[in-house]
Amino acid sequence: MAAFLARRLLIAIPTIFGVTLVVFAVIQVTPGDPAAIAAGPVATEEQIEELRKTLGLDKPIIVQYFNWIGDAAQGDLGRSIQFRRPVTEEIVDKAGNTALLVFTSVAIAAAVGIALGLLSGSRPNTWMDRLSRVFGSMGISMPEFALGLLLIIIFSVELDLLPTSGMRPPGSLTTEVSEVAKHLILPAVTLAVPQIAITSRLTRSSFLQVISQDYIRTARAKGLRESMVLSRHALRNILIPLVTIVGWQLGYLLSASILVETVFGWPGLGNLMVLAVDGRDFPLLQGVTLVLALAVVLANILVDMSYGLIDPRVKAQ
Amino acid sequence: MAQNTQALDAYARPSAWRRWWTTAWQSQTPFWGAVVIFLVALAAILAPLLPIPDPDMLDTSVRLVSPFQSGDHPLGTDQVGRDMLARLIWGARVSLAAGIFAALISVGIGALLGLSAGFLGGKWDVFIMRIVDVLMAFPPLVLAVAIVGALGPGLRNALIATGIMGIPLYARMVRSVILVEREMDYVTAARALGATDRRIMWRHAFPATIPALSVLLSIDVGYKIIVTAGLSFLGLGSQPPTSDWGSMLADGRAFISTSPHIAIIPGIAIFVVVLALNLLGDGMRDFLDPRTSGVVPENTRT
Repeated sequence: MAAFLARRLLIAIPTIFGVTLVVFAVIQVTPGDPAAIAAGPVATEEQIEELRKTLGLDKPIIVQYFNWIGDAAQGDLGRSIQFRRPVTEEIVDKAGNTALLVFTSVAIAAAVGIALGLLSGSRPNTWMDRLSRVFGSMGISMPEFALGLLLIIIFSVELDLLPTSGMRPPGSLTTEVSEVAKHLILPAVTLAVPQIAITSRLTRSSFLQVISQDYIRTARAKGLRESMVLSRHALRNILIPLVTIVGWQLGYLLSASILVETVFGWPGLGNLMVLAVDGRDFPLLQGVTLVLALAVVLANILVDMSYGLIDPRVKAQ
Repeated sequence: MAQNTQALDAYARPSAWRRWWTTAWQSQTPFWGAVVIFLVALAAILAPLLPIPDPDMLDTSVRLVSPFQSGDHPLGTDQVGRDMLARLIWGARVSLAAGIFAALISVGIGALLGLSAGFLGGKWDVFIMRIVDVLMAFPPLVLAVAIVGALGPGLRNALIATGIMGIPLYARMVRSVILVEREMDYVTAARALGATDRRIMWRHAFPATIPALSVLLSIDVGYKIIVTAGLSFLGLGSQPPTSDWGSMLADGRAFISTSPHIAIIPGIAIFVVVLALNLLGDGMRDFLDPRTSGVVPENTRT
């Protein structure tokens, strides 16, 4: 396992290098003088020049890149212009909230999606199957920001059951579980809906493939109850392809969370990114983009490793 | 010699277009998807000729009219008295065009990279695929928001950003088809007849990718409509006075407790058009399945 991990990390190095290059390049195309932007609108010519020196913006671009990388490797992503504090601190503050939102929605999507997929896969071409496939097509076509607003209209405005936005009541520092949970339900469900669609589709096709295998016929032939056949022999094999897309889905989820966090005022990284763009806060934008992309690279490594845990055949290779 | 290669061209070109429509007609849902897209596109193109009010005309005497309340405004009005139906139809022009243009940027660059990587192979292939891997590592909307954030908000920059975001998907798909086609006998035959690499690439290998490309394109235009609308919703896409469905939704946010129709109507519009495009794409995929399964990915919206 350790050797596998080392090899996998080695393969990821050029990708990580490329990612840092892209993030750095994207910020370079900004029109305008970064030192002037960082100094603010009232700064004098001398102040801008001084800041340019302190930030190292007077050095050649390649030196700037390696300075940035070197600092980033030590956890220093510069200072946020609008929040006047280190970008790293700002990201650490918000990352937990995004993780809570993303993991809750993954849990919802996995539970509902796999259940729906098994239900429709075990009864192919019945009304149940058709209904869940129609829901699948619909779920994938619904933009999250529209779905989020629709849920707010139904559950917050009309039924007055759940709060419209935020994470906990304003002004209070209490982090009682029930308050956070109440605020979490709508954004997590919004984020989960398209994934439920994807997961149920994939579970269905995987189920149909696995159930026609010889070892399932063998299990049935030796007189095993159908519930045992499914839980002991089929389920694990059905789930293997699902793990593959979890890694992909993290990228999609972090994308969608930008919109969902904005709709619900959820104080996470997506929200932070939008604030960075609105405030022309480029160090912050650069930092958040880098962290989100590296999270996806890391997730894909973890997914690769988890194959060995789920599917013993992979370990043997 | 020229005649010979032309005869081969005729073989290589897929003759499947007509069969798609027959199948789409028979399996119903893709057909209705196509009908919906056709009608929306028609309304968008004919917007200046339709008997609807000016979408930007303010009329504060009829603010926040609910749908189906007034004969003059069948879908009601927004917070400054603009006609919702007119805004919806004019917004369709922006949203559809944005989806199509962004997808064309992706397919143009992505297909070219995938085609050259698959056909030329070697170091070029490794280099291109490295770039593709790096782009794939970014959560798509995160990359788009970062690019728009750097270039500055606006529809043009939003299109560039969403266009770049989609390049890896097309590059990988085209490359994987080309890697198979390159080894086919007809390519050897064309080469034996003296066709140049460029001719083989464009006239023989590229047409083989068209069926899979059109499935992907159909689904991707829908996704691009969602993403550009999403950028507009965040205030990064179309800027006032131009509005697309995303910025209409953003306008409606402040009024969801009193006049939810301002947000719901553009939301439904995006949903219906994207659903139609997905049904059309799925229908085409089902039709093409035996040959392209594995090549055309499931719609995973990554």
